[in-house]
Formats: sequence, structure tokens, C-alpha cells
Amino acid sequence: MTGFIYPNEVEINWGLFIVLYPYLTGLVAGAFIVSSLYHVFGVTKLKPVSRLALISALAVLLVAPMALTSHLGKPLRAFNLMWTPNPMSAMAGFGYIYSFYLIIVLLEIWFMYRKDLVEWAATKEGWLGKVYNILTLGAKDISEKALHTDHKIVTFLAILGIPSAAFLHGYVGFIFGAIKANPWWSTPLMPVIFLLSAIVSGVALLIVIYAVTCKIRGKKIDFDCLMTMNKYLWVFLIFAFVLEVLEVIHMAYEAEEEWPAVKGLITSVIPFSYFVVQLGEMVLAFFLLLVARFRSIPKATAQFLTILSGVMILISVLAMRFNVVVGGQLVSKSLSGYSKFNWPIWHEGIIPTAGFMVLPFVLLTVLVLLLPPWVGEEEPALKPARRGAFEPEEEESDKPLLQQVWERLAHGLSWSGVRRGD
Amino acid sequence: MDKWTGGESPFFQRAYVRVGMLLLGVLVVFGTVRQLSIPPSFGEYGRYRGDSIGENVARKVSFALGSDDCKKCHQNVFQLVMQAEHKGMDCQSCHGPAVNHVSNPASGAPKVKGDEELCGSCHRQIAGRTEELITTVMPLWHSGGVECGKCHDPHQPRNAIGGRTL
Repeated sequence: MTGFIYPNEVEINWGLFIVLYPYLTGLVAGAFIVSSLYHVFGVTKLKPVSRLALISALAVLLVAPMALTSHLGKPLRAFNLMWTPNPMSAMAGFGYIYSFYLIIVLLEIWFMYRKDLVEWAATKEGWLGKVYNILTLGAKDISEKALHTDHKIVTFLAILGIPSAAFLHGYVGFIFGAIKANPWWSTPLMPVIFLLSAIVSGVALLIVIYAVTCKIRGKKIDFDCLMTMNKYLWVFLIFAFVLEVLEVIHMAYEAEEEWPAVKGLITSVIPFSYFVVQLGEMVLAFFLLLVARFRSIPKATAQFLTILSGVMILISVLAMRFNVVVGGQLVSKSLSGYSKFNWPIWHEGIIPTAGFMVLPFVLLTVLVLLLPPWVGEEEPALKPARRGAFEPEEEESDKPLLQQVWERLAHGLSWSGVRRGD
Repeated sequence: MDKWTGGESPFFQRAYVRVGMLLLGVLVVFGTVRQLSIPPSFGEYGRYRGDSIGENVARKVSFALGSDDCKKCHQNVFQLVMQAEHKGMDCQSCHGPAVNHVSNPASGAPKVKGDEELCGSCHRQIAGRTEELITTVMPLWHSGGVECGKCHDPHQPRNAIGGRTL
């Protein structure tokens, strides 16, 4: 504690569990966007991770509210939000926004796996076969026509899922950005900053999960797929970094009465986790990702650099969540003092937090065993059904990256759709 | 699976119908549980349980009206307190709820223990509680574990043995 603080600012009420909440929902939103790049925007090189992305999103999505309800102390009280939500409260919306998104993800996964579920239900023995049988919900029609309908529904859900994912995580940013009493939080940029860092962290998570699962399964990493994720991570990283820095520069240039307090926060209270871990790692990852795409770099080095950048971004975004959530509470409302964050061990502390960070991977392992996301490896690839003349596959590697992104955005609505087989 | 190939399956066996029915079931369960969970009087006056007002009105009062009630009998103590630092405080802040004692003095006076827990709730040195606002101590360093009331008279806290004279 330094300077003057009010007595009710001694304790940091939103601790590590609340740091986890935007971190985990961010990973979900980011992973979902990666799967959408394949299913909606036709980035075929992402095929090896398209299902893995959705399964990872689900695994993390299931853990995100656990951290929140554990923070409540009395988890069952969370249901009061669902029974009688106050329409004037942003926080009261969480239960409904989250449930809506969970349903979208579950539906998309179900329709995507339906053909496989029916086949597994018919071929697997014992209780596992029974589980698959229940999971089919008794819809066993896998005729060409039925699968075509499934496919149309998956595309629709993937399209609907993009604004939903953006809304879920933008909403998390809104909760912080709308707290006008807190100078470090209160900015309309907050939802956008959260959303972009979410996408960045989600792509990074997928790079790491993909690399680790390839290692575990003894498969070779699909270089094109990894480099495509490298590209998207790099582009989103630029936007995320620019917005995060822009917000602070804007505050500094305006130099309103809260700026000295915020300046003190980032220069003397959390300088390491802000400048080194959050921003420093972003800058370093930016260069590493760029170097990895040089033609003269050997493939193994490029892979290593990309995966290393993924790990760094994951740590960087976690630090960003910490700097926002805890950092914002360290600044006294008197604007002339700082509270101190004592790292707790048990109660909302390091050990249960680590548990909540490991849990998604335990769930992911179970989900991956139950719904293997690499069933299509030996089958012919999903070919995007394109309408119009735009053919990204051949041109992808030659055109400058930003031009490709622009073309995808421009053509995105006109050639959305992926059809199995053909 | 043969019987499905080529033809279209019956309406209730189509995938989207099945999953739609499941969703509908979830919605119905949610709606039912929600209806059962909302107290009947919720929203009567505002976004809270209307009955809670009546329930609170019906609760037994435990606090007397204030120091004026105490003054009627305890003139001497009252005058002492009014000369010293604690003059702004209500008797019941330290002595506890006293409505029984006021309505029936024979029922026994509310007892108070002048220990570190009671005095410390205001005078313990913590972050954000500065010396300019209130006298603070680290109780164990200050008294070595001796109860505050052994040295200080809470009615005139600075006049007794360990205190500084005004």
C-alpha cells in the first residue's frame, strides 16, 4: 500500500477467479473464430484444426462459469440471475448470453459429428456404443439429403456463432469498460480491446493445443495449417497491440485528472507485468511470428518459433487480464494511493486457480477421446463450395497478407459455405 | 441403416426435429423451475420480494431509540461521556442492543467487554485508517495483550491510567 487509500480498498475483492473469467471466455471466443475461419470463410488450410477448435472451445467454455460461481462463495446464488435478471444490470445478462452461446456451440458440434455419431453408435461395442447411441438422439438418417441439411445447419450456426462469440466476449469487456468510477477500466474501447485480445489468445491456444496433440499422437504437424494460424495470429496481434497501447496513449495525451494515478499504476505498481509480460511479449511474438514466415528459415525453426509465440501470447494475455482486473482495483478512488495485491494460496488463490486452468485440458482430453476431432484425416478433405469466381487456395501464398484479409472480408458473405465430399 | 438411404426419414426422426424437441424440453424445464423458484410476492413493489417488507416490520425490535433513552437514568455517565472523545457515539454502539433493559431495567443491564476485539474494530491500525482521522494502535504491541478496559475508561478514554490527560 502506498499513498492514501480508503479502508474498503485494502482488500482486492475481484481476485484471481475474476482474472480467469475474461481469460477463459476469451480463449473460447478465439478458438471459435478459428473454426469459423474454416467453416464460414473457407480457409481450407485450417481443416486439421477446425473440429479441434470447436472441441477446445467447448472444453474451456464449460470451465469459465465455474470460476465465476466459485467466486460467489455460494454458487447456487448464480441461479438468482437466471430466475429474476434485472434488465438494467449488465452483469445480470451473463447467464443468458452464456447459455445462448453454449447452446450454439453444442448444436454446431452435434450437427458436425452427427454422421460419425451414428456410425460409432452402430459399430462400437459395449457401454461406449450406448453412449454414442444416446448422443445421436435417435436421429439415425445419414442419407445424402439428411447430411446436406446437417451441413447447411452447421454453416448457419457457424455464421450465427461469430456475432455470438463476439458478443459474449465484448460483453465481458463492456462490464469493465462501463464502470465509470474506475479510470483504468472506464473506456468504450474496452469491449473491442477484450475481443481482439480474446481472438489472439484463442488462436495462440489452438497453435499450442495442435502442436501438443500432434506430438502426443506422433503425427507430423501440418506445416501449412500452422503457418496459416501464424498469419492470423500475427494480424490480430497487430490490432490487439495497437488498441491496447492506443487506449493508454489517449489517456496520457488527454491528461485528465485520473492520468497521474494511471501512470503511477503502470510505471510503479505493475510495471513488470504490464510493460514486460503484457506488451513486451506481444512485441517479441510479433517479430518471431514474422521471422517464422521468412522463406530462408528452415521449417523446423519456423514451427518452433510459431509455437513459442503461441505460448508467449497465452502468457501475455493472461497478464493483460490480471493487469486489467486486479490493476484496476489497485488504484484508490482517491487517485492518490495504491492498494497491494497479496497472492492468496487457497481461498480464491493460486492453487484453485491453477486447477481451473488445468481443468479445461482434462475436459478436452475426455472430449477428444469421445469425439475424435481428426476422423477426417484419411478421408478426402472438406471442400469449400464456392459461388462466384473467387479462388483463394492458389492465390493465398502469393498475395500480401493484408490484401488476403481484405479480400476475405469483402467476399466473405458471398462465398460462405463448406460442403462435405462433393 | 439401409432403410434410410435415398428416402427421407419420418418427420420425428429428422435430426433438426429431434434436437429441436430436446431444446424445447430444456426450455420447458427451465421455465418451470424458474416459475417455481421465483417467490410469489416478487415484483410487487420493485425488483425484490414484496413480503420481505412485512417480515421486517414484524421482526422484534432489539435496539432502544438512542442515547436519550439511556440518559433518563444514567445521568452521571452520560455527562462524563459528553466531555470526551466518544461523545458522538451512541451508547448501544459498544453496549449492544438494549431495548429490553430500557423497557424493563430489572431484566439486567447489557454487558460489554472492553477487549481488543471491541475497541480494535475502530482503533486497530490497518491500511487506509490514518492517524489524522482516529487514534490507532497495534493492540498487542501497545498493551502486550492486556484488555483495553484495564487501563482506559471508555467513557473518558484519555483520562485514566494509561491515557494522556486532555
